[in-house]
Amino acid sequence: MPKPYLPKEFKEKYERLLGDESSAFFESCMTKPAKSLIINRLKTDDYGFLKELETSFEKVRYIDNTFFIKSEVSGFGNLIEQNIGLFQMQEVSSILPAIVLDPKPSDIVLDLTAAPGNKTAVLAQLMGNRGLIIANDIDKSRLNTLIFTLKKQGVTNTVVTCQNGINFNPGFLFNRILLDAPCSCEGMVRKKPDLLRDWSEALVKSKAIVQKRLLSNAVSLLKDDGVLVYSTCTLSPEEDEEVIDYAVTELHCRTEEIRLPGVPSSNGLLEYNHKRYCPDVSRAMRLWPHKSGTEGFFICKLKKEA
Amino acid sequence: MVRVLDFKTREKLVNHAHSRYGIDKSFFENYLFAISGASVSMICSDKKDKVIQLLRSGLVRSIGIELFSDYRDYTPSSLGFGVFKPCQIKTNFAILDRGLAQAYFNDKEIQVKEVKDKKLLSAGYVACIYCNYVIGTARYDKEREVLVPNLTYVNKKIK
Repeated sequence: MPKPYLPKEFKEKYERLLGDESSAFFESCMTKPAKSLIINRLKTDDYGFLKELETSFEKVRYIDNTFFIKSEVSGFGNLIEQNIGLFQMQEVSSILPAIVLDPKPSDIVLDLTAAPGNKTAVLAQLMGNRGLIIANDIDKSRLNTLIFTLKKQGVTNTVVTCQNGINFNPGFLFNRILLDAPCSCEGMVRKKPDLLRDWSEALVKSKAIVQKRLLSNAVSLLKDDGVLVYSTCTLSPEEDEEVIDYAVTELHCRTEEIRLPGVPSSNGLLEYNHKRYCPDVSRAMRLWPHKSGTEGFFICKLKKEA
Repeated sequence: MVRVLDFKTREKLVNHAHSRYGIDKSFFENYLFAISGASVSMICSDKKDKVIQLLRSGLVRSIGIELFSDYRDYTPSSLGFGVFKPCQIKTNFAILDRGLAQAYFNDKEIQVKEVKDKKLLSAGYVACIYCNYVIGTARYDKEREVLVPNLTYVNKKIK
């Protein structure tokens, strides 16, 4: 696999942001992330089949039913167990937003930008296929992947819609909403080396505008005291802390502490590029690849003030 | 467009699932059925009022899990049959060993004589079981004594 491409402007940005830590960050961007899988509890509670796969696994200590795949594997995705949905290959950081949302079996949950559906499947597992999930995405072609993922995993409590998340309105409100927002995907560069070829500050700013509009609509669809989890797979503060600052100052939300013991994370930043964010933002969770070993990720739990 | 399935067709499909596969009719009591073209899906939700509201809004692309990819000739959905437990399938099933299950997912025909444990009553679709899981469906060709995997969309189109 070719080494990831990091644009000059990108490197300068993270040198300013991280200072002495930046070289460790860039180094981590050059290494492959550990592969991982999550057992599908809708189909099985038995991990016994893992022993027969001639691969070594290490339990992820901070997420139930999730394992790092320790040895180099090929064709893992074509195993019978994968075909029948006993597990899903999924990067650990991308499992966390659903866990932070913590949906209950009685909830009505909205996954506003749901494709390709791995997070929706985790939500369904956490809900025991009860309650109701609306999995929405604007991209028709990616919805096919989402529908396939849900079918394979035996998810039966989900309605799939294809609407623009910015003005999606089903006519009722939700207890919990997951907004895994479209972003500049900086955190995925370890997996997709060419991902940052088109990266620019202008791209980051344009994504931030869309993210704020999506979040604004998501908050309007949330019941009072409802919980919203905002996440991205990027590390740019403009797409992360700045969006949360907007939610707190403009959308009447407050942040909530994320209680996930053992997750190798950092707090949200309170200042970037001469901008100060409200103190609430520090409750957000940042996963830096050089500290967590995962892909870069940002998660924040918000509550709508009654 | 996805809409709620009419009661008569629902009953027909539930009766078919019972008579062909031995699936207890009570299994379907908690499910709401919907139809889109020839595809019939079902959703298990205690929020049926919200599901119906969504269906009426015209926003819905798909719901729950597809049970029949073509209800007119009772073509089952292989992925959808994964919601059943093997013990719920009483007739028209074949229990595959790992080698045959792998052949199934490679879209290879399976010789019926190679399947040790089976209950194949008549030609048509049958459930395929591996370990404790219904892994999909296959068409039982009685003349040629083979099972033809029903994997059109699983392996070719979407993956």
